[in-house]
This record gives sequence, structure tokens and C-alpha cells, in this order.
Amino acid sequence: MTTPKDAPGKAAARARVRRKPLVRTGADRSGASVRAAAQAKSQAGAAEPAAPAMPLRNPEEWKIDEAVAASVKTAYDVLAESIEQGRRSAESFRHGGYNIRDVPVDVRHMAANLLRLARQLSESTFEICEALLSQQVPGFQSPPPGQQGVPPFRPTVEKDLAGFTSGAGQSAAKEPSGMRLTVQFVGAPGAVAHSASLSRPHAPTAARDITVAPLQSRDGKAAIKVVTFDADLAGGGLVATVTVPAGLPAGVYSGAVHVSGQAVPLGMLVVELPQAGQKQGG
Amino acid sequence: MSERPIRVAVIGGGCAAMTAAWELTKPEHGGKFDVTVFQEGWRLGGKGASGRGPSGRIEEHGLHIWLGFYDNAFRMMRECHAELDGRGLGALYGDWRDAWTPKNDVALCSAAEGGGFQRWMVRMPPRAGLPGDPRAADEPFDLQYYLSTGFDMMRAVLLDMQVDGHGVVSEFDPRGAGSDLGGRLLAMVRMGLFASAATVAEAAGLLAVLVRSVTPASLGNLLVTAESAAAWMRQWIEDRWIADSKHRYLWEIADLTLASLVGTLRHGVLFNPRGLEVIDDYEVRTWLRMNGASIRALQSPFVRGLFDLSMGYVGGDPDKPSLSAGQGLRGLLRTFFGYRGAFMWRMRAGMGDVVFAPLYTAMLERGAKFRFFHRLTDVVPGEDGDHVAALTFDVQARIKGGKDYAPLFDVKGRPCWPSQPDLDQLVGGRKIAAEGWNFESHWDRRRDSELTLRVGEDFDMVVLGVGLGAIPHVAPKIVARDPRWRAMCDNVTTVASQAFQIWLDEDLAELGWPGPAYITGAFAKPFDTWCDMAHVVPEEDWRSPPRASVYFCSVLRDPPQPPGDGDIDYPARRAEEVRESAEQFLLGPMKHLWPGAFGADGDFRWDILKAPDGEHDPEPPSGRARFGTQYWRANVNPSDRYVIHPPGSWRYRISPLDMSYDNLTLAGDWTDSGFHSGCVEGAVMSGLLAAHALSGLPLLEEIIAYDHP
Amino acid sequence: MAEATLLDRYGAATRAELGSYLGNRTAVPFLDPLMAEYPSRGGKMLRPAICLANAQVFGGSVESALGCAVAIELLHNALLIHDDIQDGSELRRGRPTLHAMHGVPLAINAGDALLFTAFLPLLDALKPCGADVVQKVLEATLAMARQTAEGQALELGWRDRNITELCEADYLRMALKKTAWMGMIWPAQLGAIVGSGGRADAGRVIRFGMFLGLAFQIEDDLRNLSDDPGYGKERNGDLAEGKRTLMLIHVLGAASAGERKRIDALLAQTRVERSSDDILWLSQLMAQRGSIDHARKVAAGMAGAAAYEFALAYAGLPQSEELIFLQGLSTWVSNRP
Repeated sequence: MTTPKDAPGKAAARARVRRKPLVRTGADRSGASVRAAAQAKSQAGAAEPAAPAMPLRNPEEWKIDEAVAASVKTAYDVLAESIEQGRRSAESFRHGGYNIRDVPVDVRHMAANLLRLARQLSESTFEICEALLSQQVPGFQSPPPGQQGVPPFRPTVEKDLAGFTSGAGQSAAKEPSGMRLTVQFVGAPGAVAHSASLSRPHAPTAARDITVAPLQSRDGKAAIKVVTFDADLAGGGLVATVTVPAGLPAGVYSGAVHVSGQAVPLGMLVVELPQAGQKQGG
Repeated sequence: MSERPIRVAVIGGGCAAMTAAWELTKPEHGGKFDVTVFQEGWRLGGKGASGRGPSGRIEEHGLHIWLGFYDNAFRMMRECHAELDGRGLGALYGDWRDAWTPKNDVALCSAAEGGGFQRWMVRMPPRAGLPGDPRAADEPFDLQYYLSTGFDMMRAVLLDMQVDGHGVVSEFDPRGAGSDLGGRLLAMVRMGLFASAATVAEAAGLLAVLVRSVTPASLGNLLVTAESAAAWMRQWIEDRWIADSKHRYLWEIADLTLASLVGTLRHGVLFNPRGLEVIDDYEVRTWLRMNGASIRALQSPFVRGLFDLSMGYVGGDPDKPSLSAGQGLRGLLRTFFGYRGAFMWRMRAGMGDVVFAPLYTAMLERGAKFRFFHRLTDVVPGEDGDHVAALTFDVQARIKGGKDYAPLFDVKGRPCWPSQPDLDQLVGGRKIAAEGWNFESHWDRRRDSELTLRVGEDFDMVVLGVGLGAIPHVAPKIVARDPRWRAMCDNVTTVASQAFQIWLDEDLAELGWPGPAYITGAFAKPFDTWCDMAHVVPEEDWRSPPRASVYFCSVLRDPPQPPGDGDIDYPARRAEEVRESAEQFLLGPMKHLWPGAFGADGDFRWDILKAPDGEHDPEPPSGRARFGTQYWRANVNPSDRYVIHPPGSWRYRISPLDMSYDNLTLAGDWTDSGFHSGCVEGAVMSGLLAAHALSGLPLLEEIIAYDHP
Repeated sequence: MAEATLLDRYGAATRAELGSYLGNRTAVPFLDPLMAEYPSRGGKMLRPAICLANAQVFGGSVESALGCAVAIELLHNALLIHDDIQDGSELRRGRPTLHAMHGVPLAINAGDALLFTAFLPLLDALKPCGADVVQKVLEATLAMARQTAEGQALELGWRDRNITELCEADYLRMALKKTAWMGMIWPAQLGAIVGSGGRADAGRVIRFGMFLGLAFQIEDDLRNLSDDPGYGKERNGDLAEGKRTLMLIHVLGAASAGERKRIDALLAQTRVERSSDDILWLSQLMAQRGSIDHARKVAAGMAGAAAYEFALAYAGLPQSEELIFLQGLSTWVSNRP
């Protein structure tokens, strides 16, 4: 873009006022100055101790009991062996292959006990220690931009506002006690759900910890056994996926929804299968 | 070393252009720069312009809040007030501390499962210092600092929070533990929460320690650590999400913090000389997702509120949120860790009155000249393409007697900008009034005459400080011949916006909205952001003041086909759309916020809207027609369009420091200003850069956070 | 004695800091008093002292390493609680053991809580440190945890299955892992790392720490058989517990076939079944067969080796009170009060 400033035949241009050259024409985002300052600050530390000089005494000159000498020698051996063991186990950590079962049987009992304590102590401390020890630097490769999509924001208030004409203010003020339940079916066209909400669990709960007793038909002769729960990311609450086996008679099926560690069920899951003969093939 | 001053033509009167003019007219330069500001229409301010309408009521472009990290902007305004005071004009505008008042309350909304919505209210803790105070030289704009502080905060939040609905810590020891971390953790131990909150908090604390001390050599280890800790903490959070709807947003923020850590490590941002720019080709939500954030957290009102506030929707389409990861993170970090005094500051009156009137007055005193009713039509490059040879203008109107236009008028003792031009000062003012000229409409090209200014004769240097959307219209020759300018116009994105204001005879508490005057984000579309501005009412000139004044704003969707240049009715049509959706909005979603505004028949009580005095005597219209007495607008003018920052657009921004034209610099929040967001601070930073480009001052190191990662 | 006064000062500093982590702000019954019980019974604070002396020798301050010292002491006490439960010990520092006073479940709970608490001062101490220091400390800590776990497992395994086919190397291995690593090597390492700001190689103090720890352990075992079994311990308690000591291993090798049979039978019994007569007999046999003399010599040998390793590990460091304290430790273990 830029034309040489001293190009000939531009007397008029030379008379013009021009911008002066700048030291730099962009931001310096490296943070270099900050770190330089920080380093200067911490310069006042201990100097590197010198390498150990020759020992003060020569062990050859010692006069000691043979047995004791053997013990000391053994101690050195034992230490070398321990360090080597430690190095090996650190290596297996590093390769992700550490398993409590690789440890000799007699070590297991106590190690398991200590690990249990350690876990209570702080799982994170140990995980972090182990991760720190691992020397491998995983690839910094990231997918190129634009590979993954994230859905847009969901609406804050339903587009259809008809449902809120009465007592709308209360719905805003009250903390909802129930949890929305959305039911979807696999293999049963026309099936409908008669449950739309469940109680909220008392304690922290992952969706996978929510189960339902087999959904029994009214006569108790048929049942739907496969129901899975997922957190409903779009609307909040839960999504239940009901897998309906082929050949089930039409009718209403129901079962109590439980959460591990809580005696009172969260509610009932009630579904209705349409008239027979509408089974879906495949 | 020329004897005569360097004549600088500053085009535009928005934040960026005014900052450049402010810097170039500083006494330090000893009059070296002779600044003339050219402004279309009758008022300064650009997107921040405001006017006084009937009853002296304030009429804004939108909702303007100054964030507590706007250091460069506050510094300028504090200088301005000090200088006016020094010139004996201090009483005119008062102390800057009276012009801005702290605001720490924020509310976000999200859909409630049972219908309606939930509010999440936050009070940001006040911080030491004031915005614009000098910063310590070694104060770090440093990612390590941010991240470790983030984890420390997260840890504090976890330890403070009610756990599993039992309020463990606070119940156990309401205040005594205070900042005593050991005590808090021991409390957790006693309550048998070993494996839960305390452990997560401990992990957060440990992560903070690790991040604080990371070196390039230990980066790989830290990534491994962070990823495993993140996965593990996220699972913990996951398990709580279903049961603990009350603290859901906190979990979501924790989730986002973790993803940010993992992402900055993975992408090598910490020690990269380009800082956060290295991730600026990613969309911020996509990037967070890539680094482990849950879809849920990315849908959270927290994230939505940020997008709403920065209007980050391509084409104004709520289904197309888009904000680059680098700037998104930078904005978050500056917003949450950079504020001083208060999280937000709101202005005592209109932005025009509080910002542009004092600047105008002070610069007049300095000897700067202002040419109103001058609309730039072209920037003519010289033959060799390295400089600006001429500027051409439409002169929209001439001032009677060849005088300067006096733009301000008095409202309750303070100089203010009117919402309409003072036609009495204009030649042919009566004709202009009769024909209804709109000096601020891009589509209204009516004018008095044309004017050409030539380099060397009329000006020496140019600061082009108009809005980005106007560039193709004010500099068509350069855009046609310079591929970088064309790419900038094509790729740096803008959106239209819409706003309405209502004045109410009842206050918000009566209408059913509790608590202090929150700024509320992430609410229902289209007017997702609103704020009670009752505090500005005393500045207005009512016979009997309204009890509340509420401002709403949001993006405005673009039509499939852009309007033609001759479509003179376009702004009015869009404004009519805004009116319609504003009325619908009051009838619809506001029902959840202000149940008291609705009568027994379920209809909005239109009569609580306060009409201006005198205009509608004897009685203002009743029913829905009453809305016609309120204020609404569609910001569809190219120069009024709001700049957003979608991924990859950073490379198309041109810096004010760019040397392609040796007597031209750019200013605007759309330039490569160091802070790529449509906001006062980005604009002011670009204005400082433009001044530096022409004069060498201010030093780049003095532009706060210009070198921010 | 210079080392005694320095030890007192280190002990006092550690105890003061320890109080802030165990302070009973609002005492929870059945937990706080239990957690504070063992630390309150005194103790020499030798482990924290080793850490603090190393920190100073390597150029740091007492304050910089005080958190590490507290962590070391707390962890030591936490493991004592668990050890006492596993060993079925009845006395600790002259008073009934924690589980003897409060029952096993509460004691376990207190031990766990103490173990958890031990990491707080360590993390606090690491906060101002650089990545190098954090990484090295965590590395040393993880190594210690692993060695200690294995050491405990070895000893328990031997006792649970009544394994008597042991040699001296087995004993030394167990003692290294179970006692020396956590009691001597780890404290010295933490002091060296923190004191030097991460510059010192944590490996250079391992050998010194090991020999010191071995000498210390053998001396401890010997003292248990003496007239003065150490403050607040039962005489011959180790024999009653069937603990595999150097003396036991030696006497198994030196005994006649008949004696060996009697020892095996004794070890096969549970603690309650072992008669005091048998225990007395075994202790006398150890004296007769030279097992005690042998162990005493080995302890002295280990102390000598520690002195030698001291010279290697701390060569080139300027002479100081702290350095003399560390040097004196190798002789102090056998003459301690």
C-alpha cells in the first residue's frame, strides 16, 4: 500500500504534514513485561548449593563389625531396590497402567486401606499429584474453528404465553418444587405418557441414578423393563426414554420412579400403549 | 517544525472521535494541533448521543451503563471535569462522582420449569479504588493471575454456599469463620463432607496454586492436571445439578471456569505473544464446549446475559449468537476482575448530558472548533494512494449569520442536548421544519450545499471517527481501491438495535418487582435487557415527576434485503415495528416481571404510562394508544449500528496505528483497539491510539490494558 | 546441648502453628478433642525439627517451612492412631491409646480427620511457592505415601500370616518404608525443597534420612526390651504384639531347634494368648543369643553410615547451628533422653 516516501516528482506531497513513524503498530499481548517484573522480584532466593565435595572420611578406613557392615550394605541395597520400585511404579502411572492388582498380594490389603484413607483425605490431591508426575505432554492439537456447533439459547419465556394468563405473578415468585418430565418412546408409535412431572430428589443425584420399577400392565401380566433417564438440557428436568418391546398388549403401564438412597419415590411413570396391530417392524 | 499548527479534521462526534480530539487539544501539545470536529446533524455522541424531549425527559439510543473497568474512559472524564473546574466552570456539570453512581446489582432471568421464569440476582462486591485511578506499574493483566484468582473465587463460592440444601457452613458458623480457611475446611470435615464440597474446594484451591506458579516447562503437566481435575469436578457438579436447582448458576459458572482453564492451557494461550487472540478464530461457546463445558452451562442465563449485553447476535437473529472466544474471554476477565469501585456505574442523566456536553464545553474552551450539520460524503485519496487529498461534505444546513451552531440548551440549570435541532439557528429553518428533514437519517440526503476541503489548504490530517457501518458511505473511494478496507467493511460485523423507554406513575415495587433497581439481562426476547432508570428522573423537567423510568434495549433483526439508499421511509417503518413489539412485550413477557401492572381484566394498565406535560392537553390518549406518548427508536442508520465481534473478524480490523495513509488515522470501537467490543472503553482506547498515531501521545504504555493478553 | 535447645525451639514453633490448625473454635464432641489428643501428649517433634533444620540449612526460613513441619507432625499423629488400632496397642505416650479410650470407630474417624487436616498446612505452605517447588514437594509426598503404604502392608502381612522366614533385608526394607521414609526422608526432603526454593535435589538427603531412620527404628525396638521402654510404652510390648524386629529375626536364626519351635508357637498365638512367662523367656533368649548386642551394633553402624551420608549430602554448605544439629542427630538417636 505504502509508496516510498521519497519518490521523485512529488513536491506537493513533500510539503504535506505526515505522520511520524511509530515505535510499534500493535498491542504486545505476550505479558513479557509482567513476568520480567515478577522474576526480578523473586531473584532474592537461596543460591544453588555447591556439589558435594569429597567425603570427610574414607569408609575404607573404618573398622567395623563384619555383620554390621553387611547390614549397612543390605540397607543400601534395600534402598536402591525401593527407589527402583518407586521409579517403576511412577512409570506405570505415567503410562496410565497403574492398577491396584499389579501390586503384590501382601501389599494389597494395607495399600488398599491407605488408599481408602487417601481417597477420603483428598482424591484430588492424589489425582493431581499423579497427573503432575506424568511427564507426557499430550498433543496441543485442537480441532480447527467451526467444527462443533452449540445450539442457540433457548427462550426464557415460552413463546406461547396463553398458559400464563392467570396468576402469572405467582409462577415467577415461587421456586418450583417439581421437576419437568419428558417421556419419549422407542418402538411404540402412538404411545402416550400420562406423567409430566416428578418430585425433585432430596440429595444430589445424577440422572443415571434414577430408576423406575418395571412398568406393569394393570393385570400385572406384561411389563416394560427398559427405561433410561437423562437430564433434559433444553428445558431442565428429566427425559425418560421408554423402550417398548414388540408385541406388548395395549393398555396402561405404570411403575414408581426411584432414586438410590431415598425411600420415597419421585413419582409414578404412567404410559399408555395404543391398540395392538400397530407394532413397528424392525 | 512548522510554525503553524497542524490542522486536524476529526470526522464524527462519538466516543472515539471525541477522545482523539480531547487528546490532540490537550494543553501539553501547546496548541500544536488545530482540531475541527465535523458532525452530521445537531449533536455529538454517535451511538451514545442522547437528547432531551418534552418535559425535559431523557431520550437515549439505548441503555448505557459504564462498567467498572472502563479505566481509559473514566480517566478522560475525570480529566475533563478537573479541567472545567480549573477554568471556573466546575459548577456547570458538577463533580464526576456526582455524574456517575455505583451499581452492583445484577439480575438474570431463565426459564422456570413450571413455566414463567426464575430470577438470579447477584450483588457484586465493591472493590477498592475508583475507575480511572492510576494503576500500579506491576499490576498484572496476566492470565495466570486471572485463572488462579478465578479458582480462588470458585473455592470461596463453594465454601460459602449452602451445600445439599442444608446450609452447612453458614449454619455451623454463621460469621465466625470469616476468612479462616482452615476453620471452614474443618467445619466441612466435621459435617462429614469430606468427599464432597471440601474436596472440590480443595481441588480448586490447589488448581489456583498450580496455575499461579506454572512455567512454560510445566504447562503440559498442568494441562493433564487441569483436565483430570476438571473432569472430576464436573462430575461432582453434574451430580448436584438435578437436585440443586437453587445453585444451578453457580455450578454452571464453575463449569465455565474449568473449561476456560483447560482451554487456555490446551491452546497455549498463557505464554503466547498473541495472548487471547490465538483463540479468536473460535466462537466462544463452541470453544468452551470443545474444552469440556456442558451444553447446559452454555445455555445458562449467565452466558446469555453476556451475549445480550454485547448484542452478540449476527444479523440481530437470536438464533445466531456469535462472539469470538478471545475477545469473549478478555471481556469477561476485564469485567469481573478489572473493575474498581463498583461493578457498574450508571450515569446521573443522559449519556449526552453527562459525557458529551462536558467534553464539548471543555474543548470549546481549549479552542477546538465544531462544525455541525456536516455529513462526510467521501475521503479522496491522493494520486499515489498514500494519503488523503480531499474531504467532501454535504452541508445539511447553514447557520444564520455565518455563526457557529450553539447545540446545547438549558434543562434545570444544566447544558443539555435537545432531541431536535434548534431550527431557529438555521438558514431556512422554517422550510426544514415544514418538510420534516431528518438530519440523522442515512436515507434523508436533503442538504443545503456541498463542501470540499483540500489537504494542505484546509486540513493536514484526518481522524476518521464515524461508525463502521457508515464507512462505505463516507469513504467509497478508499473502500473501492483498498482491499483491506473492503475486507474490513465486509467482515467486521454490525447489528441494528432497538430501544424503548417508558415513564411510569407507579414505582416498580408497586408493579411487583422486588428489590433494588437491577439491570436485568437474559430476559425474554426481543427486549432481553432492561433497567429501572428512576434515578435520572430528577434531572428531567416534569411538573410532577414520574415514579419510575424504565429503559429496554436489544438487537433488531435485519430485513432479508437491505434497504435501498433512496428508501427515505425505512427508519420510520422500522421504528413502527419497534413500537409494535414494545407494546406486545408489555402485554406479554412483562406480565411475569410486573404482575401489578396488569388489571383485573388481565390487560396491561396503559394508563400508568406517564405522558409528557402539556403535549396532550387536556387529556393524553387512553388505552394502548397511550404508548404513543412514550419513546422508542430503531437504530438502523449505518453509523448507529452496533459493532459485534464474531470469530475470525479480528484479522479484518485495522489499527488506528496503521501507517497505510500518512495523514489519516481511524477511530472507533470497530478498529483494532485492543478491546474488540462495542463499548465506550473500546472506543476511547481507539481514540487514544488515533491521537498517538498523529502526535505520539499518549504513550502506548499509558493506555490501560492495551497490552492485555 | 545445642541440638536440644534447637530441637526445643523447633518444637515450640511447630506446636504453636499446629494449634491454629487444631484449635478448638467450637469443639465438636467426639472429634475435636480426639484429634487434638495425641499432639497434646507432647512428643519430641523430631520429624518437624528435621524439616525445619533442612529448610534453614538450604537457605530458607523457619516460617517458610513451618506449614510443612506441621503437616509432618499431624500426619505422623494420624498414622499413630491407625497404627495403635492395628497393633492393638494399649498405651501411647504414657496414657491409654485413643481407641482404648473412645472405641475403635471414633478413633478411626479422628485419625481420618487428622489425616485430612494434615494436608491443609502443607497446601498453605506451598501457596507462595513456585511450580518447581510445588511439583517437587508433591512428588516427594506421593513417593512417601507409596513407600509408607507398602511398609505398613509388609509388616501387617507378616503378622497376619505369621511369617517367620524373614531375613535382615526384609526387616530393613520394612523399616525403611514404614518408618524412615515418612519420619526422616520426607521431612528432610520437604525442608530441602522449600528451603532452597526448589533448587536443591530432593534426592541428596535420601540416604542420610534412611540411615538415620533405620538407626532410630532399631534403637526404638531395642529400647522396648529394656528396663526403660521409652516414655509411656509397655515393656516388651513389641514381643507381646509379635512385632518383627531385628532382634526377633536374629534370635530365630540363632536359636536351637527346640527354642525355635517354642518361638514359632508363641508367634502363632494371638496377643491375648501369649503368656507373660513366654514373653519374658523370649526376651532373655534374645540377650543370651547375642541378638540384642547384634542389633545394638547394627544401630550404631547405621548411625555411622548416617554420619557418612551426612557429609555427602550437606557437603559445601556453610557451617551453622542447624547443620550441627543435623550432624548430631546420628549420635543423638542412641543417646536420646
